[in-house]
Amino acid sequence: MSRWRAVVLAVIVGAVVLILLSALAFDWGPIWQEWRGPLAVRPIFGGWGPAVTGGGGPLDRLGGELANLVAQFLVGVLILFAAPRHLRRLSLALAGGGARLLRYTVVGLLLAIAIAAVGLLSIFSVHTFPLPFILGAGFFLAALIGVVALTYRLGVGLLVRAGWSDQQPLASLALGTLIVFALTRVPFLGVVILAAVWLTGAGAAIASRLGSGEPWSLLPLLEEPQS
Amino acid sequence: MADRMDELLTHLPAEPCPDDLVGRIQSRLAATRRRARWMEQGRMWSLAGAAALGTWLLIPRLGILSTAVPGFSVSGVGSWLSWVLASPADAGGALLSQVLSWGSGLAECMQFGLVLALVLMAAPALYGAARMIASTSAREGVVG
Repeated sequence: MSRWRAVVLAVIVGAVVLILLSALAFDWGPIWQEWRGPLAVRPIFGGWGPAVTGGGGPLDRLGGELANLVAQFLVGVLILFAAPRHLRRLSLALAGGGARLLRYTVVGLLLAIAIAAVGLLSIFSVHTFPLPFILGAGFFLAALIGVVALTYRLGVGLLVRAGWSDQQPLASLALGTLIVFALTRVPFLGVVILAAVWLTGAGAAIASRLGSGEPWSLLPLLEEPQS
Repeated sequence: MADRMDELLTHLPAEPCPDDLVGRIQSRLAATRRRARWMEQGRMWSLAGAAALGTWLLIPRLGILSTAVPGFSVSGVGSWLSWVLASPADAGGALLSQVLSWGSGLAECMQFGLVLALVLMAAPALYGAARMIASTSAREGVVG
Protein backbone atom coordinates (compact mmCIF):
# COMPACT_ATOMS: atom_id res chain seq x y z
CA MET A 1 0.00 0.00 0.00
CA SER A 2 1.40 3.39 -0.96
CA ARG A 3 2.13 6.01 1.64
CA TRP A 4 -0.67 8.31 0.46
CA ARG A 5 -3.23 5.51 0.59
CA ALA A 6 -2.27 4.93 4.20
CA VAL A 7 -2.56 8.66 4.84
CA VAL A 8 -6.04 8.81 3.30
CA LEU A 9 -7.24 5.82 5.31
CA ALA A 10 -5.75 7.30 8.49
CA VAL A 11 -7.45 10.62 7.75
CA ILE A 12 -10.83 8.89 7.31
CA VAL A 13 -10.45 6.93 10.55
CA GLY A 14 -9.19 10.03 12.36
CA ALA A 15 -12.12 12.10 11.12
CA VAL A 16 -14.66 9.51 12.27
CA VAL A 17 -12.95 9.22 15.67
CA LEU A 18 -12.88 13.01 16.00
CA ILE A 19 -16.60 13.27 15.27
CA LEU A 20 -17.38 10.47 17.72
CA LEU A 21 -15.22 11.92 20.48
CA SER A 22 -16.56 15.43 19.97
CA ALA A 23 -20.15 14.23 20.09
CA LEU A 24 -19.76 11.81 22.99
CA ALA A 25 -17.33 13.65 25.24
CA PHE A 26 -18.06 17.30 24.61
CA ASP A 27 -21.28 19.14 25.32
CA TRP A 28 -21.73 22.65 23.94
CA GLY A 29 -24.95 23.14 25.88
CA PRO A 30 -23.76 24.63 29.18
CA ILE A 31 -21.01 26.63 27.45
CA TRP A 32 -23.49 28.03 24.96
CA GLN A 33 -25.90 28.98 27.72
CA GLU A 34 -23.18 30.70 29.70
CA TRP A 35 -21.14 32.38 26.97
CA ARG A 36 -23.57 33.35 24.26
CA GLY A 37 -22.74 36.95 25.24
CA PRO A 38 -24.60 39.63 23.34
CA LEU A 39 -26.86 37.01 21.75
CA ALA A 40 -28.28 36.37 25.21
CA VAL A 41 -30.58 39.36 24.79
CA ARG A 42 -32.74 37.27 22.43
CA PRO A 43 -33.84 33.63 22.57
CA ILE A 44 -31.60 32.64 19.64
CA PHE A 45 -31.88 29.00 18.66
CA GLY A 46 -34.02 28.31 21.69
CA GLY A 47 -35.09 24.69 21.41
CA TRP A 48 -33.35 23.93 18.12
CA GLY A 49 -32.11 20.66 19.50
CA PRO A 50 -28.76 19.22 20.51
CA ALA A 51 -27.12 19.60 17.11
CA VAL A 52 -27.12 23.38 17.41
CA THR A 53 -27.26 24.26 21.05
CA GLY A 54 -25.69 21.24 22.65
CA GLY A 55 -27.50 19.58 25.49
CA GLY A 56 -29.23 16.22 25.39
CA GLY A 57 -27.45 12.91 25.91
CA PRO A 58 -24.34 11.73 24.08
CA LEU A 59 -26.42 9.62 21.70
CA ASP A 60 -28.65 12.61 20.94
CA ARG A 61 -25.60 14.64 20.11
CA LEU A 62 -24.23 11.83 17.95
CA GLY A 63 -27.53 11.68 16.08
CA GLY A 64 -27.37 15.43 15.54
CA GLU A 65 -23.83 15.16 14.18
CA LEU A 66 -24.85 12.38 11.81
CA ALA A 67 -27.79 14.43 10.58
CA ASN A 68 -25.49 17.42 10.03
CA LEU A 69 -22.95 15.36 8.12
CA VAL A 70 -25.52 13.69 5.86
CA ALA A 71 -27.28 17.00 5.22
CA GLN A 72 -24.03 18.71 4.25
CA PHE A 73 -23.11 15.87 1.90
CA LEU A 74 -26.54 15.86 0.26
CA VAL A 75 -26.50 19.62 -0.21
CA GLY A 76 -23.10 19.18 -1.85
CA VAL A 77 -24.50 16.48 -4.14
CA LEU A 78 -27.35 18.77 -5.18
CA ILE A 79 -24.94 21.59 -5.99
CA LEU A 80 -22.62 19.21 -7.89
CA PHE A 81 -25.49 18.04 -10.08
CA ALA A 82 -26.94 21.53 -10.48
CA ALA A 83 -23.79 23.22 -11.78
CA PRO A 84 -20.96 20.75 -12.42
CA ARG A 85 -18.93 22.96 -14.77
CA HIS A 86 -19.14 25.97 -12.51
CA LEU A 87 -18.15 23.84 -9.54
CA ARG A 88 -15.21 22.38 -11.41
CA ARG A 89 -13.90 25.84 -12.33
CA LEU A 90 -14.45 27.03 -8.78
CA SER A 91 -12.65 24.02 -7.33
CA LEU A 92 -9.73 24.57 -9.72
CA ALA A 93 -9.50 28.15 -8.50
CA LEU A 94 -9.15 26.77 -4.99
CA ALA A 95 -6.33 24.41 -5.96
CA GLY A 96 -3.59 27.02 -5.94
CA GLY A 97 -2.15 26.26 -2.53
CA GLY A 98 -2.18 27.90 0.88
CA ALA A 99 -1.36 31.44 -0.25
CA ARG A 100 -4.32 31.55 -2.60
CA LEU A 101 -6.65 30.07 0.01
CA LEU A 102 -5.51 32.77 2.42
CA ARG A 103 -6.25 35.42 -0.20
CA TYR A 104 -9.76 34.03 -0.65
CA THR A 105 -10.27 34.01 3.13
CA VAL A 106 -9.30 37.68 3.32
CA VAL A 107 -11.56 38.47 0.34
CA GLY A 108 -14.43 36.67 2.09
CA LEU A 109 -13.80 38.53 5.34
CA LEU A 110 -13.67 41.93 3.62
CA LEU A 111 -16.83 41.18 1.68
CA ALA A 112 -18.61 40.02 4.84
CA ILE A 113 -17.70 43.31 6.56
CA ALA A 114 -18.76 45.33 3.53
CA ILE A 115 -22.04 43.46 3.08
CA ALA A 116 -22.90 43.72 6.79
CA ALA A 117 -22.18 47.44 6.76
CA VAL A 118 -24.09 48.09 3.55
CA GLY A 119 -26.99 45.97 4.80
CA LEU A 120 -27.21 47.91 8.05
CA LEU A 121 -26.96 51.24 6.28
CA SER A 122 -29.71 50.30 3.85
CA ILE A 123 -32.39 50.00 6.53
CA PHE A 124 -32.75 53.78 6.63
CA SER A 125 -34.67 53.92 3.37
CA VAL A 126 -37.90 52.13 2.57
CA HIS A 127 -36.84 51.21 -0.96
CA THR A 128 -33.55 49.64 0.19
CA PHE A 129 -35.08 48.00 3.24
CA PRO A 130 -35.03 44.39 1.90
CA LEU A 131 -31.33 44.65 1.03
CA PRO A 132 -29.97 43.17 4.30
CA PHE A 133 -31.95 39.97 3.66
CA ILE A 134 -31.09 39.80 -0.04
CA LEU A 135 -27.39 40.50 0.53
CA GLY A 136 -27.27 38.05 3.43
CA ALA A 137 -28.95 35.33 1.39
CA GLY A 138 -26.61 35.95 -1.54
CA PHE A 139 -23.54 35.80 0.65
CA PHE A 140 -24.80 32.63 2.32
CA LEU A 141 -25.44 30.90 -1.02
CA ALA A 142 -22.04 31.95 -2.37
CA ALA A 143 -20.36 30.64 0.77
CA LEU A 144 -22.29 27.38 0.56
CA ILE A 145 -21.26 26.80 -3.06
CA GLY A 146 -17.69 27.76 -2.24
CA VAL A 147 -17.53 25.35 0.69
CA VAL A 148 -18.83 22.52 -1.50
CA ALA A 149 -16.13 23.32 -4.08
CA LEU A 150 -13.52 23.43 -1.34
CA THR A 151 -14.52 20.06 0.10
CA TYR A 152 -14.69 18.56 -3.39
CA ARG A 153 -11.19 19.82 -4.25
CA LEU A 154 -9.85 18.48 -0.95
CA GLY A 155 -11.31 15.05 -1.70
CA VAL A 156 -10.03 15.04 -5.29
CA GLY A 157 -6.55 16.06 -4.16
CA LEU A 158 -6.32 13.26 -1.61
CA LEU A 159 -7.76 10.58 -3.91
CA VAL A 160 -5.42 11.54 -6.75
CA ARG A 161 -2.36 11.49 -4.50
CA ALA A 162 -3.39 8.10 -3.19
CA GLY A 163 -3.53 6.82 -6.74
CA TRP A 164 -7.25 6.17 -6.63
CA SER A 165 -9.42 7.31 -9.44
CA ASP A 166 -10.45 10.93 -9.44
CA GLN A 167 -13.33 10.03 -11.77
CA GLN A 168 -15.76 9.57 -8.89
CA PRO A 169 -16.96 13.05 -7.97
CA LEU A 170 -19.31 11.84 -5.25
CA ALA A 171 -16.54 9.88 -3.53
CA SER A 172 -14.32 12.97 -3.65
CA LEU A 173 -17.11 15.10 -2.23
CA ALA A 174 -17.85 12.55 0.51
CA LEU A 175 -14.20 12.40 1.56
CA GLY A 176 -13.80 16.17 1.59
CA THR A 177 -17.07 16.69 3.44
CA LEU A 178 -16.09 14.14 6.09
CA ILE A 179 -12.72 15.81 6.70
CA VAL A 180 -14.00 19.38 6.81
CA PHE A 181 -16.96 18.39 8.96
CA ALA A 182 -14.70 16.58 11.43
CA LEU A 183 -12.39 19.59 11.66
CA THR A 184 -15.30 21.87 12.46
CA ARG A 185 -16.31 19.56 15.31
CA VAL A 186 -13.13 20.14 17.30
CA PRO A 187 -14.19 21.85 20.53
CA PHE A 188 -13.59 25.63 20.42
CA LEU A 189 -11.14 25.47 17.49
CA GLY A 190 -13.90 24.08 15.28
CA VAL A 191 -15.81 27.36 15.35
CA VAL A 192 -12.74 29.19 14.05
CA ILE A 193 -12.22 26.56 11.35
CA LEU A 194 -15.88 26.76 10.35
CA ALA A 195 -15.70 30.54 10.02
CA ALA A 196 -12.46 30.30 8.03
CA VAL A 197 -13.88 27.64 5.70
CA TRP A 198 -17.06 29.62 5.05
CA LEU A 199 -15.18 32.87 4.48
CA THR A 200 -12.78 31.09 2.11
CA GLY A 201 -15.69 29.52 0.24
CA ALA A 202 -17.50 32.84 -0.02
CA GLY A 203 -14.36 34.63 -1.15
CA ALA A 204 -13.57 32.05 -3.81
CA ALA A 205 -17.15 31.85 -5.07
CA ILE A 206 -17.53 35.61 -5.36
CA ALA A 207 -14.03 36.15 -6.80
CA SER A 208 -14.70 33.59 -9.54
CA ARG A 209 -18.30 34.79 -10.07
CA LEU A 210 -19.58 31.41 -8.88
CA GLY A 211 -17.14 29.63 -11.18
CA SER A 212 -18.49 31.28 -14.31
CA GLY A 213 -15.00 31.85 -15.70
CA GLU A 214 -15.87 35.47 -16.41
CA PRO A 215 -13.74 38.17 -14.79
CA TRP A 216 -15.08 41.01 -12.67
CA SER A 217 -14.63 43.86 -15.08
CA LEU A 218 -16.16 47.11 -16.26
CA LEU A 219 -14.70 46.69 -19.74
CA PRO A 220 -18.07 45.77 -21.32
CA LEU A 221 -19.29 49.23 -20.32
CA LEU A 222 -16.55 50.94 -22.29
CA GLU A 223 -17.59 51.64 -25.83
CA GLU A 224 -15.27 51.01 -28.74
CA PRO A 225 -13.72 54.24 -30.02
CA GLN A 226 -15.40 55.31 -33.20
CA SER A 227 -12.98 55.29 -36.12
CA MET B 1 -6.97 46.24 -42.68
CA ALA B 2 -5.69 49.59 -41.47
CA ASP B 3 -6.51 50.41 -37.89
CA ARG B 4 -6.37 53.65 -35.94
CA MET B 5 -2.65 53.28 -35.19
CA ASP B 6 -1.83 53.09 -38.90
CA GLU B 7 -3.86 56.23 -39.46
CA LEU B 8 -2.00 58.05 -36.69
CA LEU B 9 1.37 56.94 -38.09
CA THR B 10 0.61 58.60 -41.40
CA HIS B 11 0.26 61.93 -39.57
CA LEU B 12 3.72 61.74 -37.97
CA PRO B 13 6.09 64.51 -39.12
CA ALA B 14 8.86 63.30 -41.46
CA GLU B 15 11.65 64.97 -39.51
CA PRO B 16 14.57 63.28 -37.71
CA CYS B 17 14.09 62.28 -34.09
CA PRO B 18 15.72 64.58 -31.52
CA ASP B 19 18.76 63.04 -29.77
CA ASP B 20 17.21 63.20 -26.33
CA LEU B 21 13.85 61.74 -27.39
CA VAL B 22 14.46 58.35 -25.83
CA GLY B 23 15.66 59.89 -22.56
CA ARG B 24 12.66 62.24 -22.44
CA ILE B 25 10.25 59.39 -23.06
CA GLN B 26 11.88 57.30 -20.35
CA SER B 27 11.88 60.14 -17.83
CA ARG B 28 8.26 60.94 -18.66
CA LEU B 29 7.31 57.31 -18.20
CA ALA B 30 9.18 57.14 -14.90
CA ALA B 31 7.43 60.30 -13.67
CA THR B 32 4.04 58.93 -14.68
CA ARG B 33 4.69 55.65 -12.92
CA ARG B 34 5.99 57.47 -9.84
CA ARG B 35 2.88 59.62 -9.71
CA ALA B 36 0.64 56.58 -10.12
CA ARG B 37 2.53 54.82 -7.32
CA TRP B 38 2.18 57.81 -5.00
CA MET B 39 -1.52 58.09 -5.78
CA GLU B 40 -1.98 54.40 -5.09
CA GLN B 41 -0.10 54.63 -1.81
CA GLY B 42 -2.06 57.72 -0.83
CA ARG B 43 -5.32 55.91 -1.58
CA MET B 44 -4.22 52.87 0.38
CA TRP B 45 -3.20 54.94 3.42
CA SER B 46 -6.42 56.96 3.29
CA LEU B 47 -8.54 53.82 3.17
CA ALA B 48 -6.50 52.16 5.91
CA GLY B 49 -6.98 55.27 8.04
CA ALA B 50 -10.71 55.24 7.33
CA ALA B 51 -10.93 51.55 8.27
CA ALA B 52 -8.98 52.15 11.51
CA LEU B 53 -11.18 55.12 12.41
CA GLY B 54 -14.30 53.11 11.59
CA THR B 55 -13.14 50.23 13.79
CA TRP B 56 -12.31 52.64 16.60
CA LEU B 57 -15.78 54.17 16.37
CA LEU B 58 -17.51 50.80 16.05
CA ILE B 59 -15.98 48.92 18.99
CA PRO B 60 -17.70 50.89 21.78
CA ARG B 61 -21.01 50.64 19.92
CA LEU B 62 -21.02 46.90 19.31
CA GLY B 63 -23.65 46.47 22.01
CA ILE B 64 -26.13 48.46 19.93
CA LEU B 65 -25.61 46.08 17.03
CA SER B 66 -26.63 43.14 19.21
CA THR B 67 -30.18 44.45 18.96
CA ALA B 68 -29.89 43.92 15.20
CA VAL B 69 -30.03 40.17 15.76
CA PRO B 70 -33.64 39.15 15.35
CA GLY B 71 -35.05 36.68 17.83
CA PHE B 72 -36.04 33.21 16.71
CA SER B 73 -37.44 30.33 18.67
CA VAL B 74 -38.93 27.01 17.68
CA SER B 75 -42.17 27.74 19.50
CA GLY B 76 -42.47 31.13 17.78
CA VAL B 77 -41.82 29.65 14.34
CA GLY B 78 -44.22 26.79 15.08
CA SER B 79 -47.05 29.07 16.11
CA TRP B 80 -46.44 31.28 13.08
CA LEU B 81 -46.59 28.24 10.78
CA SER B 82 -49.90 27.21 12.35
CA TRP B 83 -51.09 30.76 11.72
CA VAL B 84 -49.99 30.46 8.07
CA LEU B 85 -52.06 27.31 7.68
CA ALA B 86 -55.07 28.92 9.31
CA SER B 87 -54.87 32.36 7.70
CA PRO B 88 -52.01 32.93 5.24
CA ALA B 89 -52.80 36.58 4.54
CA ASP B 90 -52.87 37.52 8.21
CA ALA B 91 -49.67 35.59 8.90
CA GLY B 92 -47.92 37.25 5.96
CA GLY B 93 -49.07 40.67 7.09
CA ALA B 94 -47.91 40.01 10.63
CA LEU B 95 -44.50 38.85 9.41
CA LEU B 96 -44.11 41.95 7.25
CA SER B 97 -45.13 44.15 10.13
CA GLN B 98 -42.66 42.39 12.43
CA VAL B 99 -39.85 42.81 9.92
CA LEU B 100 -40.67 46.48 9.44
CA SER B 101 -40.80 47.12 13.17
CA TRP B 102 -37.46 45.32 13.58
CA GLY B 103 -35.92 47.50 10.88
CA SER B 104 -37.38 50.75 12.16
CA GLY B 105 -36.31 49.89 15.71
CA LEU B 106 -32.82 49.21 14.49
CA ALA B 107 -32.75 52.43 12.47
CA GLU B 108 -33.83 54.40 15.54
CA CYS B 109 -31.05 53.06 17.72
CA MET B 110 -28.36 53.69 15.09
CA GLN B 111 -26.51 56.79 16.25
CA PHE B 112 -24.48 59.05 14.00
CA GLY B 113 -21.22 57.56 15.25
CA LEU B 114 -22.33 54.07 14.34
CA VAL B 115 -23.49 55.10 10.87
CA LEU B 116 -20.18 56.89 10.29
CA ALA B 117 -18.28 53.82 11.48
CA LEU B 118 -20.18 51.58 9.07
CA VAL B 119 -19.55 53.92 6.15
CA LEU B 120 -15.87 54.20 7.04
CA MET B 121 -15.55 50.42 7.18
CA ALA B 122 -17.64 49.53 4.13
CA ALA B 123 -15.66 51.55 1.59
CA PRO B 124 -12.17 50.21 2.46
CA ALA B 125 -13.50 46.66 2.76
CA LEU B 126 -15.09 46.79 -0.69
CA TYR B 127 -12.01 48.43 -2.20
CA GLY B 128 -9.68 45.90 -0.60
CA ALA B 129 -11.81 42.97 -1.75
CA ALA B 130 -11.98 44.37 -5.29
CA ARG B 131 -8.19 44.83 -5.40
CA MET B 132 -7.55 41.32 -4.14
CA ILE B 133 -10.03 39.80 -6.59
CA ALA B 134 -8.42 41.73 -9.46
CA SER B 135 -4.92 40.64 -8.50
CA THR B 136 -6.02 37.02 -8.09
CA SER B 137 -7.63 37.12 -11.54
CA ALA B 138 -4.47 38.61 -13.02
CA ARG B 139 -2.36 35.83 -11.51
CA GLU B 140 -4.71 33.24 -12.97
CA GLY B 141 -4.33 34.86 -16.38
CA VAL B 142 -7.88 36.18 -16.49
CA VAL B 143 -7.63 39.70 -17.81
CA GLY B 144 -10.56 41.96 -17.08
